[in-house]
Amino acid sequence: MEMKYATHLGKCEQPCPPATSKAKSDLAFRFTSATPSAADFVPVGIMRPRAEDSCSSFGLSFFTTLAFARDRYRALGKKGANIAARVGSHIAKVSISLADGVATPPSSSGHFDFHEAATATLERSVIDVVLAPVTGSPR
Amino acid sequence: MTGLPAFGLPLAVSALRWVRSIEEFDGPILTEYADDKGGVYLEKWCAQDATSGVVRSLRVATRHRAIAEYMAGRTSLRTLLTQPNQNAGFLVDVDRAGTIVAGFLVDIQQLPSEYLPDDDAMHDDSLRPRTGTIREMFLLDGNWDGGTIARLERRYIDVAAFAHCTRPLVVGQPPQYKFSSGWAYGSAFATMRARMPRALKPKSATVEANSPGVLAIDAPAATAEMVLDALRRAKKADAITAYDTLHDWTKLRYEVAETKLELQRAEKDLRALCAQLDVEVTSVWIAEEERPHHSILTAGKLVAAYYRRLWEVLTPAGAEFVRPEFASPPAAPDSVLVAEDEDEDLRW
Repeated sequence: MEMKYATHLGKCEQPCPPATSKAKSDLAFRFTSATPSAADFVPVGIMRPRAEDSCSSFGLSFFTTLAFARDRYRALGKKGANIAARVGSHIAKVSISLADGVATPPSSSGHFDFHEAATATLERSVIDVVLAPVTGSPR
Repeated sequence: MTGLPAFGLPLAVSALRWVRSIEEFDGPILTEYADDKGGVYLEKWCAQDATSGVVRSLRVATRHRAIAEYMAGRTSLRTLLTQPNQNAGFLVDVDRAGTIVAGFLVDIQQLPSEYLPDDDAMHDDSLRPRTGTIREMFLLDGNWDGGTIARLERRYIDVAAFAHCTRPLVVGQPPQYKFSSGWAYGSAFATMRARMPRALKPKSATVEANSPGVLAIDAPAATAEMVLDALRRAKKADAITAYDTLHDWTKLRYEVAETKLELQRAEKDLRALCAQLDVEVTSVWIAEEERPHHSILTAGKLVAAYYRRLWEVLTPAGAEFVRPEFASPPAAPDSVLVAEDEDEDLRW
């Protein structure tokens, strides 16, 4: 499968995408703006390159369930990381197909990195968008 | 961005060397930096300007010990950012090219609330990177000495090397601990350490020689994950039971092995513990026809010694392994606590 950002992936220290990654056809959830566009599906390693970027920087963060995505959003909100400005204020439900790329095995918190195929246009595969949970506690 | 105009930053804050990402999600959240004089700094992501892409972060001076206590779940992120530096820090604005475009000396407590973590925001190990080099840490109590550090480092590397050399997927060579006059399972650990590829070997990173202090060991992500997997397996009840059963006879002396060791039972026990620990039996057991009791006793002693080393990493004397998932391990088997590995250089 020809990968998007192949030049960047080839520069990673470890094989990228990792050998454990697999194509999948499934619903997945990602933080986005209220009206997801292609700009919501650009990996952080491309948006904001750093010398210490690793393979994960060139993958898109997804969650296996809406509940996992909401949990992570709340947890990030507690860090004072201005989460809405950073990753968006909504959670998009995306229908991923086998041809879209490969996913790393999900972690215990339901997160996985998705490395896109060169032809992927995930913004067109968004089938629903919901508001992310309110974060932070009053001080 | 709003705020005071930019002014010159102290060298120590403007020219820092990236050390590691402590927490990240689609980019850095909390990052460790160092200066060339041994100073330790943290950078916490605060905000991003939507138009210019400039990122504003909080940089504070800290200590290894404070970071380790945060990652052990003992202190909150807010405490980590404020206590070691009496609320003093710098806000720095960095553009997309990585250049600092503005900096402000700040009283952290006066920052906008959205820049700061909630009071109860603690370390989240699932935000810790799983690639590159992983820094594992041990909190040292007030009574540590050089021996404590040497032993901790040695045990971590022993466990990593053993796990690497005995994984079912990589085993392709017979055990390397046989020599002309017999076997020495103690030397098997040295052999395994030597056989571990350099690119996978853990190594000491820093020792903060305060009292209490902290020891940091850097391990490639694959090695760190392998050790964590071994530790998770070791603390399971089935592994504890399998070890206790094996330990019943691995404490036998070679001189009495032929009369007191039942081979079938020994093989069954050895395979049971190896299965629990994901150790390939053929990587530790040379099935010698001439002296079968001795060979299986050696293999049993070797796996038992590995198991005890796992517990030494899990619950080290005078120290604490900094991983929240191991913060409250189950009680160690009694035989782990009392068994002495004086057999390092045992010959028969």
